[in-house]
Amino acid sequence: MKRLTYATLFLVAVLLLAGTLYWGGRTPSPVPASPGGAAGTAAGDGTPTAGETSFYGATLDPPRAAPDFALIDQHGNEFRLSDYQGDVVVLFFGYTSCPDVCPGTLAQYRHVKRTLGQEAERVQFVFVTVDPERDTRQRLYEYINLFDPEFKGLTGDLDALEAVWRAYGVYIEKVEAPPGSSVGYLVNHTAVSYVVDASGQLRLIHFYGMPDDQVIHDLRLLLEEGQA
Amino acid sequence: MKGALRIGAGLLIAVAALIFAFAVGRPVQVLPRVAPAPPFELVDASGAPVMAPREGSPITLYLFGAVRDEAGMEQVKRFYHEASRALAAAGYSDGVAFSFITVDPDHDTPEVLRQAAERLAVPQGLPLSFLTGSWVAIRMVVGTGFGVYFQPSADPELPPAYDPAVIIVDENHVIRARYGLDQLDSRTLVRDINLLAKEAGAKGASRWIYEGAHLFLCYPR
Repeated sequence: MKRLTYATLFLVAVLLLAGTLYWGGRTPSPVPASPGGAAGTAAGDGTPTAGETSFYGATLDPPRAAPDFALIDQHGNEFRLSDYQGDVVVLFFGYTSCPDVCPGTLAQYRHVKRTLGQEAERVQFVFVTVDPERDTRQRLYEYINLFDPEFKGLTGDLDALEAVWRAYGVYIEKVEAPPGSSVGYLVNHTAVSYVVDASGQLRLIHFYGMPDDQVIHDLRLLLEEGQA
Repeated sequence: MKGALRIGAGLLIAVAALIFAFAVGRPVQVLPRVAPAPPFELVDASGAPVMAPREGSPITLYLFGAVRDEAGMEQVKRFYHEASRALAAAGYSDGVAFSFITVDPDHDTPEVLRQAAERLAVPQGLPLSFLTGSWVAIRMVVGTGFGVYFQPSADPELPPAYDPAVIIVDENHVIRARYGLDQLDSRTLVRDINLLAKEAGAKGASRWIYEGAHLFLCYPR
C-alpha cells in the first residue's frame, strides 16, 4: 500500500515537471515578427543555402565598389586596394596584441591559403591594424611572419586609418585589460572579414568562426567568376 | 527511513509544484533576450561620432528609415511623438532614448538628418538621435546586425525599400523586442519598457527570479 503511495507521489512529481516543460516550451514569443518576412536578413544579407553557385558568407546585394584606400604594408610599401583589381582581396581589421579573434582568423587564412594552393596566388589576405599605437611596421612584420609572410599587414597615420575604419564601418573600442594582464589594454573590434571580388566590388562578409571549407568555397566561386 | 522518504517525496512534489506554478502562472514576466545588438560607430546629425554599446546607455528604441521617404518619415514622426508622450506619462522622462538609423546613407548626410530632426520637433520629446555612416557601415549595422531588411533602389532618385521596424534594445545592448512600426501601440510599448525597467532594477535574490523567468520563457502574451 505504502509502495503504491510513493509511486503515486513520484508520478505526480514527474507529471508536474513534464507539464512545466510542456507549458514552458509552448509559450509563444510575444515579439511579433516584422512584416515583410525578411526579419533576420538584410539587403540579401542572410546566409544563403550553399550550393554550387551560392555563397556561405553574407552577400552584399547589390554589390558596390569597395571603398578604396592607401596604407603602408609591413615592408614599408604603399598598399592601395584598387591596385589589386584582378585578385580577390580578403580584408580583416585587427591588432597584434589580440588574444583570440585575430590570431584565429590569420591561422584560418593560412590554412585556407594552403588549401587553395596555386589558386591562392590570386587571393590577397590583408590585415589592417585597429591599434596603430602599438602596431608599428616592425611589429606587424614580425606578427604577419608568424602566419604567412605573403599576407599584408597594414598601418598608416591615424587620419588615414580612421578614414578606412569609418568607410568599412569598423567598430573599435579600447578597453582596459583584465587585472594581471601584461597587454595593458585590449581593443574590441569588428570581427568579420570583408571579401572584395576581382572587379573591386565588395561582395561578401565572412563572420568569425565560419568553417574553413566554407571560406574556401566562397573564395573559389569568386576566383571562378574572375576568370569567366 | 520511511519518514525520510516521505519528506523527500514531499519536497520533490513541492519543488515540482513550485516550478510548475512559476512556468504556468508566470508571476514574473520578462522580454526575451533575442540577440546581442550590433556594436557600431556611426555619426549623428552634427557629424559627431556615436558608439554603441556605451556604459550607462539608456533603453533605446531603434527606428529605421530614409529621409527621402516622406510617408515613412511621417510614420516615424507620429510614432516618436506618441511613444514619447506615452513614455513620459508613464514616468519615463529619462532612461529611454530613440535612435533613428538611416537606410539611405548616400543621401542622408548629417546635414540632411539635421534638417529632418528639425521637422520632427525632437527637442520636445525624449532624446532622439539621427545616425548615418558609410554604406558599408549601414549594411553592417542595419542589415547584418539588426536584421532589418533594406534594398537600395535601382533608380538612384528613389529611396531604398525597407522594413519599417522598431527594435527595443536594453541597457546591456541586447535586443529585447522587435515590432513593425505600425504594429507597436503605446500600451504595448509602455508594458515592454516597464518590464525592462523592472528587470534592470532587480537585485539580489529577485535577480534569480528574473533569470528563472527567462529559463521558463515567461514572456507576456
